[in-house]
Amino acid sequence: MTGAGPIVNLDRLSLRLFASFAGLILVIVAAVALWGEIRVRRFYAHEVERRLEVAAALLIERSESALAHAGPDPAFDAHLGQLGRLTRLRLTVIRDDGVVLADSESPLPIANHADRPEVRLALGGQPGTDQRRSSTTGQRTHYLALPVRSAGRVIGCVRASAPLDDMEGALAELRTSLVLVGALALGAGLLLAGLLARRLASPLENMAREAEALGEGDLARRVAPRGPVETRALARALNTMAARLQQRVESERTARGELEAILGGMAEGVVALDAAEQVLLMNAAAARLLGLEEPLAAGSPLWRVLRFPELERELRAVLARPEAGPGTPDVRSFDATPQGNGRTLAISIAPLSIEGLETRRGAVVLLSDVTTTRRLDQMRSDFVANVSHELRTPLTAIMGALEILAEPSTDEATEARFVEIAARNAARLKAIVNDLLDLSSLEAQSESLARAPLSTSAALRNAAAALAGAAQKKGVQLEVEAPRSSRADVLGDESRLEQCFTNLLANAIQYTPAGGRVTARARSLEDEVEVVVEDTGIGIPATALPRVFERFYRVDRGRGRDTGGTGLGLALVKHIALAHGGRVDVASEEGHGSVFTVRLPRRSEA
Amino acid sequence: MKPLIEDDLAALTRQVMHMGGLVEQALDRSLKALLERDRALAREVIDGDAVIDRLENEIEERCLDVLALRQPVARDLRYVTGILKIDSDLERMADLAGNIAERAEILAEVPPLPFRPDVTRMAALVKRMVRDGLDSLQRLDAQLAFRTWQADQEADRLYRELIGQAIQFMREHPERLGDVMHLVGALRNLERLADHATNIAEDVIFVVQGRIVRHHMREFGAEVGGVRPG
Repeated sequence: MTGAGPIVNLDRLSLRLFASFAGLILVIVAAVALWGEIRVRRFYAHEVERRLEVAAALLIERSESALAHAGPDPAFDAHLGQLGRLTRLRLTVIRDDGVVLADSESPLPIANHADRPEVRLALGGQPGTDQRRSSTTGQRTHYLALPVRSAGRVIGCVRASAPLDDMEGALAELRTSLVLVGALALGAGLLLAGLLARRLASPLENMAREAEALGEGDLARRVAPRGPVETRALARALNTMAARLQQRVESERTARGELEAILGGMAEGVVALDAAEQVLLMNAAAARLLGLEEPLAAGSPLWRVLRFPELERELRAVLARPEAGPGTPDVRSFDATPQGNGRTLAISIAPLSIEGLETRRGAVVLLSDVTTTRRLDQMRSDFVANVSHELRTPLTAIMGALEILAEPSTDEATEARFVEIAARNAARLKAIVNDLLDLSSLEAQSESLARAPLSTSAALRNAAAALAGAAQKKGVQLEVEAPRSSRADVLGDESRLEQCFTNLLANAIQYTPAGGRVTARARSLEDEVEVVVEDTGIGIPATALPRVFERFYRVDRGRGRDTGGTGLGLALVKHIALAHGGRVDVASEEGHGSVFTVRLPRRSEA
Repeated sequence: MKPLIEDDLAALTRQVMHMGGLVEQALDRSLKALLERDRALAREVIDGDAVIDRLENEIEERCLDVLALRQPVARDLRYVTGILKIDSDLERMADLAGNIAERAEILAEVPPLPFRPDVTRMAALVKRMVRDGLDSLQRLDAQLAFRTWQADQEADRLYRELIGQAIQFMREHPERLGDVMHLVGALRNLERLADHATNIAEDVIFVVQGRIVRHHMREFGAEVGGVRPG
C-alpha cells in the first residue's frame, strides 16, 4: 500500500470542492460590491445634489440684492457664513464677470471663477453641475451653480458645493465589510469543502485500501458498505468480486496442490518441456533419476545442466516432428543409463500440446527406474542358460564315457577310468540337481524348516571339520574362532545351517590360493548371532558384489567350475539365512580377500 | 524478431553439451568394455565415433558463423573461442575412447590380466575428471575447473604406478608381453584423455576469468586455492 495515495485523493477532492466554493463566493461578493457601490454613489450624489439645490435656491433671493449692490456687504457675508455652517456646504456668490463677491468659507479675494464649468453654464442661464477636485480646498467636490436673474437678465450666480469625502468614507467602509464578509464566506467554504470531501472520500478511501489488499492477494478481505448509495453499491460489487476471486484462486490452488502432491509422490520421474527444451515442470523423482541435486525450476533449459545424449536425441526427434494428430500419441520409449549413477531408466517421451493463449508444443518425459526389473529379467534368462549349461557339462562327460565303455575293444584299465569319470559326473549332476531342489524348496517355503534350538558355534565347527581335509589338500589354513560352550543360541534346522556354513567355507577355500588363510568366527551380539567367514583370496570386483548370491553367477566365466563348485553355493547360503529370518552380507577388496557375514536372530532365553 | 547473440550462444552450448555427453558416454562404454571384457560394447564405441566427428565440424562452423556474423566481444568472444578449442579437445577425446575400445576388443579375447583394481581406480578418476570438466563448462564454474585440473596429478601418478606394475608383470610373464602392451596402450590413451580434460578446464577458466592460465595453472591455483565454492 502506498500510504500517500488516499490522502492525496482526499486533498484533491477537498481542493476541488473548495475551489468551486471560492469561485462562487468571489463572484457573489464582487457582484454585491459592484452593485452596492454603484447604488451608493448614485444615491449619495442625488442626495448631495438635492441639498445643493435647496441651499442654492434659498440663496438666490438674498444674493440678488448683494449682486445689485455690487459692493462689500458685511451683513450678507455674515449671513452667508451662517447659512454655510448650518447646511455644511460651501456657498459662493459670483458676479456675471466671474468675480467672486462672497464665499462662506474662504476670505476674499478669490480668483476669478468665470472658467469653472458649472459657473460658465449658470452664467449662460442654465443650472450647472460639476465634480472635480477643488483648487481652493483640494478635496473632491460636487458643485452646483444656479443663475441669478434680475429683470430677465443674468446678473450672476450662486454656487453651492459639498465635498464628496463623506461618500468615499462610506464606500470604503462598505468595501471593508464586504471583504470581511467574503473572507468569512471563504473560510466557511473551506471548512465545508473539507467536511464534504472527507465524507465523500472516506468510504472511497477505505474501499481503495481494501481493493489494494485484495490485489495483493489477501482475498479474505471484505469492504464494509458505507457512505452514499453509490459507494455502498460499489463496495458490494467489490465484495462479490473478491468472493469469486477467492473461490477461484482456492480451487486453482487445491488443483495445483493435488497435482504437485501426485507428481511429488510418484516413483516415476515426470518432466514436461517446451519446444525450446526448457523445463515446464519436473518432479523430485525425475531429478533423482537424472542425477540432479534438485528439480529444475520452470524455465531453465534442460541442456544447461544435463548431458544425456540418448534422451536429447529422442527428445529432439519428438519435438521436431510435425504436430501429431489427436488420438495418435506418438510415444518413443527406450532404455538408457544417465551418466554417473549407473541406473537403467525406461524412458518414454510423448509429444505435448499445451493449450493456452496460443497452443505451444512440447514434450512430456516419463522416467522409471527399471534397474531391478532389467536385472531380474537378465537373471531369469541367465538362469535358464546357466542351468542348461551346468547340466550339459557333466552329461556330456557321462555320455562320452559311456560311448567309450560301449566299445568292445576297451581294456580294463580304461574301463575303470571311464566308469570313474561317469560316476564322478553323475555325482556332480546329482549335486547340482540337489542344490536346485534345495533352493526351490527354500524359496517356495514348502519345506517347513525344523525349528530346534541349536548352537551356531557347533554347526560352524562341524562344517569346518568336514572341510578340513579339502583345505589341507589345497594348502589353505583354516581357522575357527568360536566359543567352546555350545549353548543353543538360535532356533533352526541344524543340517541346513551346517550346509550354509559349509558352503561359505567351501567358497572361501575355493577362491583362496595356496598359502592363504580362511578364518571363521562366531559371536553373539545383542539380539543377533554373527558368523563371519573371512579369506585372503582373490576377492570380488565391486561391480560383481551385488550379484554373487545369484544362482550360477560367476565373477569370471570358467573360474570356479573346474574346481567343482555347482555355482549354487552362495545362493543357498542366502536362502538359508533368509529362511531363518537372517541375512547375509559381503564385503570384498579385489586382490585382498572377501568377508561374508551371516547374521541370524538370537534365540530369546526363555 | 532479430535473433540475438544469446540465442546463438545458447544453441552452441546445447550442441557442445550434446557432444560432451556423447564423449562421456563413449569413454564410459570403452572403459566398461575394457574392465568387463565386453567385445560388443567395444564395437559400439568404435562405430559411434563418426557421429562425434560430424558434430565437431558442425560446432566449428557454427563458432565461425557466430564470430563472423555477430562479432562478439568480451566474455562472448572468449566463450566462442573457448568452445572452438574445447570442440577439438572433445573430438580427440572421442578418438582416444575409440582407441581404448579397440584395445578392449583385443584384451577381451586373452586371459584376464591382474591389474583390474588399479585400472578400475584410474578409470573412475578419469571419468570423474571428464565429467567435472564438462560440468565446469556447463556451469562456467572456474573453481570446479581448477579442481579438475588438480586431479590430473593423481591421474598421472596412477598411470606411472600401473606402468611400473605392468613392467614388473612382463618381466615375470614374458609370454604375455603382447597382451600387456595392449593394456599399456589403453592406459596411455586414458592418461591422454585426462590431459584433454585439463585442457577443457583451462579453457573454462579462460572463458570465465579472461585469463590464459595454460602453463600458469600453479599461480592461478595459489590465488583461488583458498576459495571454497560457495
